[in-house]
Amino acid sequence: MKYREDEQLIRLVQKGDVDAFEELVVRYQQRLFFFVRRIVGDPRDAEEVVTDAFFQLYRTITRVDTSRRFSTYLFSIAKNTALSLLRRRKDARPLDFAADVEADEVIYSRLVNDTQRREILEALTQLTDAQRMAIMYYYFDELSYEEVSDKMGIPLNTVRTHLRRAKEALRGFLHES
Amino acid sequence: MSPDVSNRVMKKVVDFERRHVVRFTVLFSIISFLLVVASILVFSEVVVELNNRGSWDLLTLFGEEPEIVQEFWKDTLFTFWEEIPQGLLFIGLGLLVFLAILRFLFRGAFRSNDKKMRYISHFLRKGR
Repeated sequence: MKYREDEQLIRLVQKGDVDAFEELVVRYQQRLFFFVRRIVGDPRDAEEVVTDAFFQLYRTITRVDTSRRFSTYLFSIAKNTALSLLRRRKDARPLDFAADVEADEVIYSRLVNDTQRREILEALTQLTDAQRMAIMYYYFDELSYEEVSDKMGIPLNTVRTHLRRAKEALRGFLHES
Repeated sequence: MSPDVSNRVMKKVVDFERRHVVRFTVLFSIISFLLVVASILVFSEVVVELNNRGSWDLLTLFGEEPEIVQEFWKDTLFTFWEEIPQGLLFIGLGLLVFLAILRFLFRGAFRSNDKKMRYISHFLRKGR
């Protein structure tokens, strides 16, 4: 099947092509799930949030501006849906949680297609070796903090520090781009 | 490994669109039906009025000899036209034109709904 760009698919969905929407779902579901799971923790909750986020996207599809990056819009919906779930459950998170979520949103939304993934890979060259390795293990290999710590042979808190600094740096690079 | 949520998502989408398409189709059908019925009522009033005036007798001209028809057809048709209750006639035609305009304005929605219904029936046939 010929690869169709997101904007092309969105325009088709706006004209009633539900097949095109299914193609978008299949394309984004994995990354969206991983992103949401980082926020809500529980995989079943993450499934529910991802399903709701896609449905919310479908219901508002006519409002999507195809001249802007679609993945940002989708991940924003998912983030807000996930945070609503946490608020409903009165789930208290640490103070740096919001910054983490925002960084994850920026990075995950770009991991979906090759062009945007290249932006991330280019930005990674600006990081230190340890930060780059932590990012690769965490976002590309989908390892947990503990698993990254084991792989790199460094304490858990050091992993958190590397990731926090790397995310801050990446956010800056990617917003500039 | 992430779970495949596409089936759950598409089921919600299908349920949503099925309700939406049915609602649209029912509403448009009701409006179309009312417009057609209204225009039929109006046209039947026109016919009754023509019956009362005996205007149909004018049209017997066209059963006459060709030379007579050729001589009198314009005057006859003009007289017939004058005897038609034109207000009612225009109302009846206006209702049908309005229906045609509605159909034209919503042609995008009809095309979109057709595509959606094709997907929905395909989705349901696959038993997902």
